[in-house]
Order: sequence, then C-alpha cells, then structure tokens
Amino acid sequence: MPFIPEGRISVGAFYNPHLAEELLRAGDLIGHLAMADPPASDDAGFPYIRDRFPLLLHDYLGQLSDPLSPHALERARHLQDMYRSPWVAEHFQCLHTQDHDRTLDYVFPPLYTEEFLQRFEANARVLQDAVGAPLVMENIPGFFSLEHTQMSEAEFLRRFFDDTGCGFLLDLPHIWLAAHYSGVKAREYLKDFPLEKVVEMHVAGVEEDRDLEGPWIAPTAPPQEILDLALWVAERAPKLRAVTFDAFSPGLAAETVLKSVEMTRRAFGLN
Amino acid sequence: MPKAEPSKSDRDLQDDVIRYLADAGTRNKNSSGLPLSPEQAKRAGKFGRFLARRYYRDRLARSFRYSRLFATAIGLTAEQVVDGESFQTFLNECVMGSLEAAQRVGQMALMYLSDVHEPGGWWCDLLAYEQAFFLQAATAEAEPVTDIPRRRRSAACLAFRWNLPEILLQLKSARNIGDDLKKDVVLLFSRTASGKIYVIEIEEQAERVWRQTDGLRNVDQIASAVSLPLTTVQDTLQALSQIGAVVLPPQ
Repeated sequence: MPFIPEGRISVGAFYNPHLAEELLRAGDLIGHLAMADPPASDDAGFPYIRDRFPLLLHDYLGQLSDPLSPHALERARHLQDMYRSPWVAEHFQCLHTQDHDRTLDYVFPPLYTEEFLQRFEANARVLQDAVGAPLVMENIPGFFSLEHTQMSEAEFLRRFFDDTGCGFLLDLPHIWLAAHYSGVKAREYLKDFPLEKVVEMHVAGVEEDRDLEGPWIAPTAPPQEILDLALWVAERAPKLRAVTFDAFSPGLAAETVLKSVEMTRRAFGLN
Repeated sequence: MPKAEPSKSDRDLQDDVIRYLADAGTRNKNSSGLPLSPEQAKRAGKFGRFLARRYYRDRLARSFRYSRLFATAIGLTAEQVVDGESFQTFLNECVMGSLEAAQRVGQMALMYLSDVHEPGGWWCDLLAYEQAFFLQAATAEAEPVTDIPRRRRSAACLAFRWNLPEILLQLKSARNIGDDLKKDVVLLFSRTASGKIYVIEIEEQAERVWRQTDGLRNVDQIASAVSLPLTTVQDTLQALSQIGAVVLPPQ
C-alpha cells in the first residue's frame, strides 16, 4: 500500500470520486488523497485510487464533544482498515444536539470552556484507541462569540494537544477567517497556537458570502496570501508531513484541484 | 444581555446555541435567552441564514442530480432556488432540517423545474422521484419514541407511470429513454436514523402493511386490516424498520 515518505512534505488533495480518472492521470503531482466520504459501492475508480495514493482518513467519525457510539467506533475502525491512514482526523466541533433533534450540518466550534476541554480529551482518547492510529484534530472558525467562553481558541487547542498527545491539523483558511473576524492579522492570531504540533495543513480559497456579508471558505484555489502563510507556518512546524488542498464537491472541476496542488507545490519549492 | 443559567452545563448551553441557529423562529424573538450581545446576536442571525442556505443548496444538488444532467438543455438546476427572492422569506421562517422545511423547499424545486420544455414524457415522474428523495435527504429531525408502530415522518410511497429505477440507469449511461420504459412501479423512499437513504420497489403486500401503519393501530390491528397472518406483518414491519420506513416501539 502506498505511504507518505518520511522526511519530506507531501502535497495532496481530497478525493473527489467524479475526478478519479483525472487524479489517476496526474502522475506524481498529487502525493496523497484525503477521504471525506467512504467510497460508494459503484465507484469503479476507487480500487485504482487506493493502489496509487496514500489515503488520509478525514471522514466525519463523530463529534468528540460527546461519547462516540459503539457503531461510530466500529465504523471508524472499518474505514481505517480500508485506508491504512498514517493518522486519522477529526474536528474541534459540536454541531448537533445531544438528542440529535437538531443539527447544523456544518463545522461549528464548541464553547471554549473547561467542561468542553475535558469532554474532547476523554472522547479523543477513546477514538484514538479504537482506530489504533494517531489522531489529529482540525481547528474550526467561529463567526460570532458568546459571553461564556473561559479561554481563547489557541489556549483550548494547546491544552488539548499537551494533554492528549494528539497531532494538530491546521486549517489555514479557518485561521485566516477567525483572524479576519477578530480584526487581527493571521500571523498575529497564530502566535499562541502550538505550531510545533502541526502534522498536516489545509489550504483553500475564500470568497465573499452574501449572508455573512464577508468572506468564507470556498472550494477555490488558495490565494497567494494563504500560500505565504502556509510557508510561514511550515518554517515553525517541524512535524509537518502533509499539505492538503481542502475542497470536495460534485461540482468541483479537475482543473481547480490540479492547479491548486501545483500552486501549493510551487510555494513549497517542490516543482 | 442574559447570563447562562448557573445550573446549566456548557454542553446544554451549546445545544441551545445550535437550536437558536437552526430555528429562525427562535432567532426572531426579542430575547434569545443566550449570553449574546446585540451585536453578536445579529452576527449569529447571519450565520443561521448562511447555514440554512448552504444546507438546502447541498441537499438539492445531491437529490436532484438526474435532472441536473439536463441543466444545459433547460437552463436550470434545482439548487438555483436557494438564490431566488422567495428563498429569503423561507430563510426568515424555517427550522433547518425539519420535515416542514424540506416539504417547502422540495415543492419550490419541483415548481421551478416543472416550468420548462420537458426533455421527455418521463420528466414529471423524474422530478417527483427527486422530490421524494430530497425529503429524505433534507429531514434530519430525530423521531420521537413510539409505543405503537408508525411510519417515519419523511418516508413516502409513490406510484410512477414510468420505470424510474431503469430510467435512472439509462440517464447515468447517457442512453435514450424509449416508450418501452413505460411501466407502473411503486417506490418506497425512506431514511434510517443514521442518515442512510433507501429507495426500493415495494411489493403490493408490503405496501398495504406500510399504509396501515398509521400510528393508530397496533400490530394485531394492522394484521387484521390487511388480512395477513400476524407473523407476516411482524416480519414486514421489521424489514421496513431496518430501512427506516417505519418506527417500532423499543423492545
């Protein structure tokens, strides 16, 4: 099974099943593929993809603010058996109610409090044990704040990583947005984040959104500002192994994926 | 600005925030009961609208994917309805993930795509199929515990005049659809608690059981209403439960 080599950074993308042929034809351009969904039963391209690329497990395994069900843990194990991912990713998110009656169906951060920190740490340990692989956790941006938080996002993450030994999946557009809506520069916002724990980084574009009346994540090529930021982080992240263009959508064009990976490789001097 | 109740856990408060974001009616009230400043409440309102528009755009794109194959010919796709003026009103009223909201958006998409030069005589059946699929994809409410068998709220059983399962295969392979695919079929659409969607061709006997599972009759009464042996009805209900078409009392 293909693997991400030690000692150099792999640049990859998310697996978009409708682009399987183009991804397979891309030669050595794409170093790895992250899997946001399990392969469909009629996905004829997946066996070739699995033989060709190292795969990163980046599915929704469950929200770690709550204990994962035996079914969710079994599903996570099954996916990891299929992908043999060098690390398994989840998010700092809490998007559905405990009774499952309401869901936001989208990444949404928890309150940064002692109670949530304990909940995430306990449930992350269970998930990591279940999959038998290192767990990395991805930062999630907020768009508004409640007068209830007890610590900053950076402190929450730092304490989580120190206590659990998990790795950091640093999503740079998420950081850029959190900084933008906090009114500070991204590098300033990042100064208290534990960059020494970063194992993987996400890059992507941002676009104006009509409802937010401001920028939000978009499945477009990363702008130079994000790529410059990626390089700045990489210089401070000795454990960084992979940079992934974070976009998956049935409408995504092959050209966008390939161009974004090329741009990222160029920024890292890998072309 | 209210403070969070001291007895409430942070996790419970997070649930309140999620409900606030998902439910436009709650956001429209004068006081949210959440520790939100007026400025942050305004931002949360924007985020709630953003979430709902994103959610229905995604579910429409996934559900109306066969009619989308004709986007170039008809100049329309289902997900375009979320950018229309009438959707603004919907965003101010909807409970995201509710059956009622899914019915409204599904109807909007159906009306939008019906007003075109039809690519074939099967077009209306295809749209009805995709609308029923959308109801499953866009209804995320938990089902309340029941002490009597009943149909899952979003489940739907529809009769078609065209052989939809075969038509979908033809569309996937970009093959022409001839009159030989005119055939009466009855399809059951359902979704399990974990979100898996099923569309199955249902036999007449199972359909009768499903229709009599109205939340008013117990298993004995359903068996009597459909004139089938009790064990047959029990087995059918069990099978329907496994695909999320009915909800059974906990054992």
